[in-house]
Amino acid sequence: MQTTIQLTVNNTPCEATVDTRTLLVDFLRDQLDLTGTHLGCATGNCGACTVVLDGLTVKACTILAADVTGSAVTTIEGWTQDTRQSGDLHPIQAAFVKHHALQCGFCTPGMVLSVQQLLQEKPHPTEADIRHGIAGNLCRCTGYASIIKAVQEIARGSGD
Amino acid sequence: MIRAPFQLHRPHSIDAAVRLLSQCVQNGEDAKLLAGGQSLLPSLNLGLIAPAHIISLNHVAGLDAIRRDGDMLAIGAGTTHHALAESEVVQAHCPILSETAACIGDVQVRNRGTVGGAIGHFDPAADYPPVLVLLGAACQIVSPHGERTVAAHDVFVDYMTTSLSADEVLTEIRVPALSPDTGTAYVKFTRVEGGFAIVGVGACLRLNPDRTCRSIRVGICGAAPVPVRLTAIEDTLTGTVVNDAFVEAVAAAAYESAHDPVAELHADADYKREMVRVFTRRAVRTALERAD
Repeated sequence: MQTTIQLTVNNTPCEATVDTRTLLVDFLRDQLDLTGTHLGCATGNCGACTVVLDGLTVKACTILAADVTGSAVTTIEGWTQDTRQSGDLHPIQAAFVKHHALQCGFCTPGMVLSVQQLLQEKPHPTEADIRHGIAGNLCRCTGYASIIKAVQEIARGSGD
Repeated sequence: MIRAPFQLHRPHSIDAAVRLLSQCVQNGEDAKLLAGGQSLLPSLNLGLIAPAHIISLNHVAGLDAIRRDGDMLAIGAGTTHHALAESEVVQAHCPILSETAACIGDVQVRNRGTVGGAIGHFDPAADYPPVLVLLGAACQIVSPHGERTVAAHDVFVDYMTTSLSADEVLTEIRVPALSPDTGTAYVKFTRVEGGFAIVGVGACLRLNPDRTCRSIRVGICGAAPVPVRLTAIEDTLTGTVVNDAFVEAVAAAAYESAHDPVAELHADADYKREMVRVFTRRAVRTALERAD
């Protein structure tokens, strides 16, 4: 069954025809070529497919593209659009690089989006807050300690 | 892409959703209601289920409303765990429900998953059922035959089985607004953060001015395939002094109530029974600390 959907993806309105069985993650990757959103488990466990849907992080493998017609989606590409254009790294990216908070990088796009959501809600998170905030993102290289260090540095650097 | 084909319906009203569901049932076709989809989509992705129809409730306006209605709170079935955890009215009048919502799954799951979906799916390790049972919550259910209100206690009937008929839709959950002097706590035991509860215990405790127990309510998941409430010991202990012996009496009753724990990879039945005792103790102690 095919259906037409309208979404705003990375601030750009788009209309597309999708099979109703298409997951949001598949739509982003296969139809829009936004391959920064990764598909890991397809069971809502790993968080590699994390995107921002209407302002909140969600796992795009647990959502039908056709069910979120009318919504706004931000992927890792959209979120880094501004800094990429100016050739800079976003402070979260820079801190991840500095603290070696990624090894294979598979979890990184989802991890970064979860960190930005955490810092948006809690600019000065405790270590417990950070662990709580990234609980939905698995890093199979188990680089959690470095990720937490990176987030702590961003939190320290964000004023007051 | 999900392998098995299905027809997706996106009704804009509960009436339309009920009509669609009823048609599917009458035609003998398997239909599933989609709310947050945090259990449904993984099940579809894994090929565990292959319904002919999926009826999304995500386009029904107002299904996520939370409002105070006299001495009750009315919570729309489409309310996300995140919205429930952050709701000021719920935090003020039924903090055990906010605390429960805040410990479900992880951030992304809470942002999408709904209270109605969790009740309908009824995983035996789900966090809401024991809390709703201890609160004496009521579920508002709509079908082509009209509307009915069912006590949470009567909704959860067996392992992953609710008393909702195939043509019924859960629309609202009603919980009592608790007196501000009620101490409440929901504690859960998981192997890792975000994991399903091996054991989860909710407790509500009110004290008399002389520090004796005015009322206590305890609900447990993990002790049996359905939530367990400790009605007998709740009655026995009302009016008695709240001290260590009181806490131990509740914990002992909880242990006795855990007659049929669902054994799992990380916890066999005996271990679960012991954890029911430990976490009941913690829930009651925390509720006591918060009661004044």
